[in-house]
Amino acid sequence: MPPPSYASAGERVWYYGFRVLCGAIFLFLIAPLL
Amino acid sequence: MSTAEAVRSDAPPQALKRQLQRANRLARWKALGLVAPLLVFLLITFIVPIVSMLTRSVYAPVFADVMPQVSEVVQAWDGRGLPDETVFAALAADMVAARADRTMGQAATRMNYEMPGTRSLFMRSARQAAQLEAPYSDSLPALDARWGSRDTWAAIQRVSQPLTTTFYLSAVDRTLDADGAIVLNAEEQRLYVQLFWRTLWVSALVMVLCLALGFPIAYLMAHMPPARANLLMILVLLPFWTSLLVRTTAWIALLQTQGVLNDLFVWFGLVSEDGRIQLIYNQIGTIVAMTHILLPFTVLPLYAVMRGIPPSLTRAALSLGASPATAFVRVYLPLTAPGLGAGAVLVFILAVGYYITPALVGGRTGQLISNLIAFHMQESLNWGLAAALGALLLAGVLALYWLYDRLVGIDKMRLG
Repeated sequence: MPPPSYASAGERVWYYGFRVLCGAIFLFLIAPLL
Repeated sequence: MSTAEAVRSDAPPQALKRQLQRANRLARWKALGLVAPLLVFLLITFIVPIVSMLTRSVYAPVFADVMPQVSEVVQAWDGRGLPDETVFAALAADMVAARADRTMGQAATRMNYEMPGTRSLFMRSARQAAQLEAPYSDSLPALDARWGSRDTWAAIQRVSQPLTTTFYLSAVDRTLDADGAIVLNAEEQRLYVQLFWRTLWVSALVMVLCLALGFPIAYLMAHMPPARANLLMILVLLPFWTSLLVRTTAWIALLQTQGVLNDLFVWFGLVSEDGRIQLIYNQIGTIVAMTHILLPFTVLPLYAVMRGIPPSLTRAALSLGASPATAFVRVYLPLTAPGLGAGAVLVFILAVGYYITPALVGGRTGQLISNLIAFHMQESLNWGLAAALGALLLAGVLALYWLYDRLVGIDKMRLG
């Protein structure tokens, strides 16, 4: 679930940063198949 | 016939007890009979080959078999000066016989492991042994000066014994000198200790990388609705379902100097066209490809453990005043320890014995000890040394496993 509207800027950065990191790792996992 | 049927209620207590014992014994034998095929299969295909391989690392009777006379008389030599004429004569007679049987090569090869360079000495001398004349203690050194050397005879005395430590000493870059003392090999001949360290270092690095990369995605999947987590799980399992060889060769296509990754670097202007980075056929290639292949082994146990952690625990820590970082480090992280431990042990043990990936993408600096074991098995045919290297590797892994058991506890491990 996305961060609530009252979340601070730091929380948002952390949330989306974490998503991007995970996306990068998933990309690494399937990179050889692409 | 089950235990209940076997026991008749109208029998006296003593007989009842005996009947029960007999029924239990029958059930035990039946169970043993059912697992027996599996046990026999394991024994034949797993235990016997391993034990026979490991005995090769200490038991090498080939020299004494091929050259029985000299093997027997050289034992009486006290190791000072040179042996007497009987030993020289026995050697000449053995060489003539071994050349006639065409077994000289086996003995010479075994001798070469003990003292590099002596294979040609034996083969050449055996060709001319029939023409030699007594006294052999003069004619053999005249043929080759090395027959007059104490080192050669000390080595012959050592190979004459069926039990040997040579292979284990070679596996740690050491050798015995003429006085039987253990000495380090010459600088340029040392190889294995460095390779053992490299293998451990690469395995440890791959383990840490796998945990560091596996933890965030396992966390993400564990905190998602199951339907979406399963979708992401396919991404984790997809590499699992692809052939190891295909994945490794795909990394070659990605990482090579003219490959996708270097093209992207050039495109973004990170490196110049002629400054493309060498990412493969070295240690980097080995580490990247191994991390990729072993990553699912950390994600799966971590995910299984994280699914079982109630989210209310972290929430309780937060509501009791812990900062998010404290709640994570003091509450969440300790709860994931079984998964972390399982993933770490699994990845490390798999990485220590990894063979195909380093062979394909390792180049020269990315080779691990398993590649050398394969080399000695298939090309140099020095099975004794290969067995010694394998035994040392096995001992190392068992020691680490024991350490893990003492520090963390095997019973805490969960594989999902």
